[in-house]
Amino acid sequence: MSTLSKPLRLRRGPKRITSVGAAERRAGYAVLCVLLAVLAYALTKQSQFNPAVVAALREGPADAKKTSGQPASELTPALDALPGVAALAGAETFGPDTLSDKIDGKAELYLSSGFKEMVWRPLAPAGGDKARFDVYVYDMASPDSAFAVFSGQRRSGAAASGLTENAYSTGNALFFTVGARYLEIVADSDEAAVKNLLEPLGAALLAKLSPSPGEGAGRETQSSPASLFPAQGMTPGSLRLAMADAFGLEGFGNVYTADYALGGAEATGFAAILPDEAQARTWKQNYLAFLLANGYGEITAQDLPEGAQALESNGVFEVLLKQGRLFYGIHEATSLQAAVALAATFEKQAREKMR
Amino acid sequence: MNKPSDTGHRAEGALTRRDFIKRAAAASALTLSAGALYAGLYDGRGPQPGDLGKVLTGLGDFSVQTASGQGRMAIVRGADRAAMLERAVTALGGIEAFIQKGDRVLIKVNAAFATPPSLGATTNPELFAAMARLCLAAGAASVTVTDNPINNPESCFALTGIAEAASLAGAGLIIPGEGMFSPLTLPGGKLLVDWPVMAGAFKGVTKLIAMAPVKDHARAGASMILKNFYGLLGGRRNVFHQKIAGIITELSLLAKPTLCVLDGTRVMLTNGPTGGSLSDLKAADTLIVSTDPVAADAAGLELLERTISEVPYIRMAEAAGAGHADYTRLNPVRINLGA
Repeated sequence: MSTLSKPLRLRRGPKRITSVGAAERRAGYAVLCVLLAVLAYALTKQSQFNPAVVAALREGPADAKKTSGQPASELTPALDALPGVAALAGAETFGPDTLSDKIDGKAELYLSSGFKEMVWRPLAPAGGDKARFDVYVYDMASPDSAFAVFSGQRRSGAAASGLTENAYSTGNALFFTVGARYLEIVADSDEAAVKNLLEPLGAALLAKLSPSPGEGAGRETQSSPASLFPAQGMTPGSLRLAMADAFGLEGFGNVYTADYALGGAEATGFAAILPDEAQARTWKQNYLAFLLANGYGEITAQDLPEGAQALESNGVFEVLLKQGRLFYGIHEATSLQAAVALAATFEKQAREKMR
Repeated sequence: MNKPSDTGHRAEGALTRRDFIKRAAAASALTLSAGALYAGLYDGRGPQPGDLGKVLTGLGDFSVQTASGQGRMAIVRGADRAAMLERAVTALGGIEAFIQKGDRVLIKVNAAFATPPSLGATTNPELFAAMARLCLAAGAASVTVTDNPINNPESCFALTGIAEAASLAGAGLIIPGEGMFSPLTLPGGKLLVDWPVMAGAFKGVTKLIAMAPVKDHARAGASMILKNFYGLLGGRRNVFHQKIAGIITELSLLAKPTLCVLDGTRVMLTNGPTGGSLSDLKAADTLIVSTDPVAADAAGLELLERTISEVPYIRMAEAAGAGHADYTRLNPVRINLGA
């Protein structure tokens, strides 16, 4: 006997019924439950996807497995025939998938900042000296990208170099940007004879890698908020560019920051120019929500610029401002007075320059 | 009674028995097809890496049990790494407390980069050599050293000075080869599932010593003993960079070392794990030797001027049962040899 015949009250033939019986409903729910169970199973399995499979999918075919160090880049010739040095080995090229093979955990900094490829070559002084130089040329998506990785690793207290606008040297190394490239020349010691070769080597590379006219020699200063930062109190060499996730806020990118020392207090200024005013407003709201979710509370303060919002958490202060497409402010100030004073100067400068 | 409906009239387009059966059958067929398709496509085992064989569940427990069951630690201040190591090991009961005659010792170093020792990105070769000599003096049948730098291992061992140090100290050097990797699934692991690990280097090994420098790490916050076990992984391990704390936690359960030697003589405070500038390094003149890898890392954090909240994998490793995040519970022996 069919289990459907009586309880469902269905009739054979063309006649229609007007309601669904309890058994039909139960059967329908059962089908839906099975569908939901399948969906839940699929989603659960998907969330626990075997990393070995992910790696294999990224790895590609077997003959492409060992891709680290492929000598195939337009930049490679720049590392040939450099004056005063001899190559210890051929140049090797690393792409987004293989960069971590060479520099491990530091790869993420580059990958999140528009990395295209890196060429590395070990060199030694031509005179047979045992010293060694490792040259790393990072080809980034734009001059801003190059500045981001340059500034993100800048060594505090390092000596400025006149090689390019963005250049500095330490006891054993020289770091600079040229166009969309970021270069590191690292020697294995800080002996004077070795150190003295850094600048000439850098100059030779600069000559080979300088962009041709029209290619974009520097950062796009017209759209860069770097010029908006007040000069007074700014720590030299502290200007940085975060291409992604500034201050830990996911998606908050292209944010310039600079450190300030103000009468015993410390603070960081930040500024980002968004594509339009609506996005500037949105990011201000997002950052405000982010701070509130992380224990900050809004406070009132005298002498704050009009429209500014001040927040505090355990003696650390934030000030948020917006001017047209510009979202800017003060981050982690150690005194409210310093935060308000810096915000006022910043606001005045931004208002004048953003006209 | 077979009433057609409770209301006595039938709406146009209402369901017939035939319609219902058809629809139920179609939905069931669709459900079963989707399930069958998923089950057919799902690869529960994952790809098999290199030399196959059975899937491992760990690389072994090489720890030495103490009477109290408590871990041990010595923290030595000084500048001469070999002398500091010797004093630390003596303070923990002497090398004989860890290495017995006939032991086959594997030393896992950090040789991840083809950079000179002066840059402090890798295990110091003199410290490694001192450890190898101590083991051989205690009667070890063999001492081998290994790591798996993905890019050009030979060059990494040569340039870090570890290959030469091994040769001079009488230790063997294991260069990772494809046949040395076997799949491993950590019980309860979410990331180490069918993942190739360098099990070949552990063949016949009876003692494991982990040696690493104290370094900043852009992704993990710090690279010390636990992060150094990342070098036992094969495959395209960079897929784990997005879950770095999770993978280090699982690595803490991969193998239980006999001894951990954490070199804080010079600490890479910034721009780790590669560094590059000598200004990234700071002299901290400290060597930490412990049987507990989690405690060693926790002590190393102080040299790195970090708090434990900034490096989440240490507490996670403790919670997983790999050791103690409060290293003071080990009552570390403190020795000052003078800088």
